[in-house]
Amino acid sequence: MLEQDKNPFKNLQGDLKDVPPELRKKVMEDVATAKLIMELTGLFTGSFAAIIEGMLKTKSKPNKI
Amino acid sequence: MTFLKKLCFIIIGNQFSEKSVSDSVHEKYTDLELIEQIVSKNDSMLFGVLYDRYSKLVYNKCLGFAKSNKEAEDLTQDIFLMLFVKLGSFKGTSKFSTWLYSFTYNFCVNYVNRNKERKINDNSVKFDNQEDVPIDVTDNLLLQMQVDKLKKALELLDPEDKSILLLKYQDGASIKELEDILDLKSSAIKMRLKRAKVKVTEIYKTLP
Repeated sequence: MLEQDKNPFKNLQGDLKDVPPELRKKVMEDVATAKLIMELTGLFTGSFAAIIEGMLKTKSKPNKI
Repeated sequence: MTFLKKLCFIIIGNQFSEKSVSDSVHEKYTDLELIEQIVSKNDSMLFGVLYDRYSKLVYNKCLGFAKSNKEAEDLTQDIFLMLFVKLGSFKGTSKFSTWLYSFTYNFCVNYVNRNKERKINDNSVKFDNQEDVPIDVTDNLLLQMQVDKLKKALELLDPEDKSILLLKYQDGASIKELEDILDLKSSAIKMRLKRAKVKVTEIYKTLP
């Protein structure tokens, strides 16, 4: 294991630069749009498998004794 | 009227206190707890907490692959959007930070490779005899490298090799974690690391 103070890889970045503050707003807007699209897509595609399965399923008649 | 005013003040006051309490609660969540909450509720507001924790690190990693601050900013924006969509694929087998760094590197590597014009113009050093790795570069040899020269050598290295070296030696990922993240066997990981170390050492030696 490399020692942290001697490891040149650890010192590559130097002092970390601050993220531009306006970036947070952009990201959160993107995420809100993505969430909306994911939820809308879920509305239309989520239950297709269940619907098809339900259509193909035949009701089993109870056995008469 | 006074009663209504009082009621409004109480409601507004409660909302503010609830917000501050919930913010402090979110800050106490571990990464794993936070991710479980985000994924189960698809909560974009909680995702903001995750952004606040890791945006600086991700942005600085992007700066290592980008040619400008604006490019790094765009990369960071895209990475966090993709992270929101793919967060459910985090299985918790490695530290979240390691998984996120790998995610970031993958995104940056794809970006650099996709940019063909840049690929032609850059000075990436290619080695034809990748199968024959004659020497073994020890960790001690890497320890002795100068930071400035190593930085230049990494700029000239293939982005795939650069990312595995950074994951191992900068982010402290273990071989086991690399196995999980990269979905490779330990022998393959070790070979990729060995080749990357040889390449970076060769480039390092050519630098003045």
